[in-house]
Amino acid sequence: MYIKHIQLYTVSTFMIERMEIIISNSSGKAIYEQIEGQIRDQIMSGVLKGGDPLPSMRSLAQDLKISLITTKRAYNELEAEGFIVTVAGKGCFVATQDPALLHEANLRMAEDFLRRAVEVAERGSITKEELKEILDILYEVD
Amino acid sequence: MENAVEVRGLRKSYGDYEINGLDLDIPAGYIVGLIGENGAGKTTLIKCITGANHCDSGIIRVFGSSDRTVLGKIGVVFDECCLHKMMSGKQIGNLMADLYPEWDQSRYEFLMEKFGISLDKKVHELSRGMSMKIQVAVELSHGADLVILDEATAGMDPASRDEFLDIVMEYMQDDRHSMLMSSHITSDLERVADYIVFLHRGRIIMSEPKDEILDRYGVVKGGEAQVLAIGRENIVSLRRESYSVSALVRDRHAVKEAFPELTVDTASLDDIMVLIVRGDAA
Repeated sequence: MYIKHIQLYTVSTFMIERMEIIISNSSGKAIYEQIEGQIRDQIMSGVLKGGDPLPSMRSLAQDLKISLITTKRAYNELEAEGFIVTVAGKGCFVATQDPALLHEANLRMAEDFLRRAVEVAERGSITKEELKEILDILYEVD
Repeated sequence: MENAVEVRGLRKSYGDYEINGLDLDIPAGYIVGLIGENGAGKTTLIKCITGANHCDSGIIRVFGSSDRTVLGKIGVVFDECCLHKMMSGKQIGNLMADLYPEWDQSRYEFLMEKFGISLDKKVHELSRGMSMKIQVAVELSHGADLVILDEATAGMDPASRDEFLDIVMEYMQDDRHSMLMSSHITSDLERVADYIVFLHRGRIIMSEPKDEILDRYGVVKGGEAQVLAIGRENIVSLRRESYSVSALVRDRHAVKEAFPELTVDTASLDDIMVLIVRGDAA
């Protein structure tokens, strides 16, 4: 019983070095969404790579001290979106991301943010030229 | 899904107080949180499951069996310390080693150390919170597949409760382990419980996955006419306060969508309990 615990612990600390999940009680987002979103972000940004092992649902629930149902739901959503795969008897792994699909997903995300910027611009009578100018400045600063 | 515990049609009455026709499942591998006001029947239910009380009628199956031979696989902690006051932690360990065939002394010592209790201390020298911890250490060390905790965190400070939840989650790493946990400190249940069962006057009025409860239920606040406009069928219970009316609603997202001008807050388990116990049915 003990040895099992210690082994699990090593696996999870190993993961924590690379994977970060921060649960907020006041973010207004459901806990499963927070986990799902943070793991997805880390996969999309390349912090987690294809084939990387993820902690088991039970050990993630233990480490975050949350319900097993919550971690199951987060993993199920990630699996449905193609970000992770479950290998029977072995656990969950980051799915190998097709670079074209990943690019597509990032593109969609950028488009979403830009759409919001356009909405704000329209509301505040900011011209398209002004918006482009902001974009140019942002690129220069970076 | 397999159930560690199945209760069907449980009936138990004491004078004017009764549990009548109660059904409950504890799915194997999960934590069920039991909430309810004082006198709702939580301890009576627990005593019936553990065999400490006989029920008037109904079926209670533990690990699929309704005979009493499996009761040794249950660990139970009641809110009053039942260990002998003059015994030390070490003596309790020795006693349990004789009582339980699967007693795990090293695990007991490990838990006692984690809880920061010296094995030389006698039970009467310990605070209430500490004596609860000894009981938890005992019940998690004798190979139980089902652990029932009745107000086990009563008397523990926030740091100890956090430590206690660590130990609970570690116990739950074995997917054959199940837990029934009653607590008035609902924030603990909001974290670790998989399912919530709400017992009110001897009846179960809510039994759902915790995430769904917290995601769906909400509290609407406003003037009486304004709140009642959402329709009584959407309101679980209503509470009139000095300057406003609060209503517990089953689907806060739908209410928010239909009535964007209303204040719709999320509902904690505490909010749900207070509104149901102290409010009026809509």
